[in-house]
Amino acid sequence: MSEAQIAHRRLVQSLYKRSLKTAQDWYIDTNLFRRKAVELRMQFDAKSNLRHPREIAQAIQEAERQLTELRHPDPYIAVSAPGGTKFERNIHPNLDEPAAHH
Amino acid sequence: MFRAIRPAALYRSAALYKTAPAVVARNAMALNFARTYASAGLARSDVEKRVLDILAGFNKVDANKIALKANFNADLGLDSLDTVEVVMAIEEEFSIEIPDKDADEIKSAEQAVEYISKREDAH
Repeated sequence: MSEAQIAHRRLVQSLYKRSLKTAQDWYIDTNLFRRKAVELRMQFDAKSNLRHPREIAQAIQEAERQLTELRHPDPYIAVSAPGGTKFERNIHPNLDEPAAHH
Repeated sequence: MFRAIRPAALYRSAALYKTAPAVVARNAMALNFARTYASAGLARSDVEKRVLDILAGFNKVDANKIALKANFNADLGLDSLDTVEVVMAIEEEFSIEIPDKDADEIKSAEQAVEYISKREDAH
């Protein structure tokens, strides 16, 4: 795989992951989410045979636009991730190198 | 009901507080300071089992081929989007968020286990 192909794969992977996450935000029910996930997968697979760079760019742009439009106002954030409920809670003090002013 | 507590009993309890030496209070503070938060991280065998269970849950994966060292792409026949689904399932299982940069490095169950054991916030 060339560098450009790897970059493109990463871009599509990121797009797919964000799509699934957005779907998960909107569909709490697992059964509904699975249906949506299968739908998304079909949408991505349908675009996988695009070869012309302009068509690919358009498809990606369209997907990004839809993602922005469907963004959830209160998305699920993993507890320890930035913005999560447990993010940086109970940080252990650094006893080996105390802060300079102490 | 409240009258049942005689003044003498009150005095006695007050005396108890008085006799408690200051040293005890200081020790209590030291104990408070050295508190622990939770049990130690996940056992490696548990992580391995949970990751392999996730793979077993995928209907695209042949159950006989599942192994720690099996490459998602070469051995299990998963494409790049399937790998994203595996990584998302791992994120959900261990309630962590795996950044794309790290997710890109996870190409087998063993690498996933390795990564999770490094993450202290994995549950």
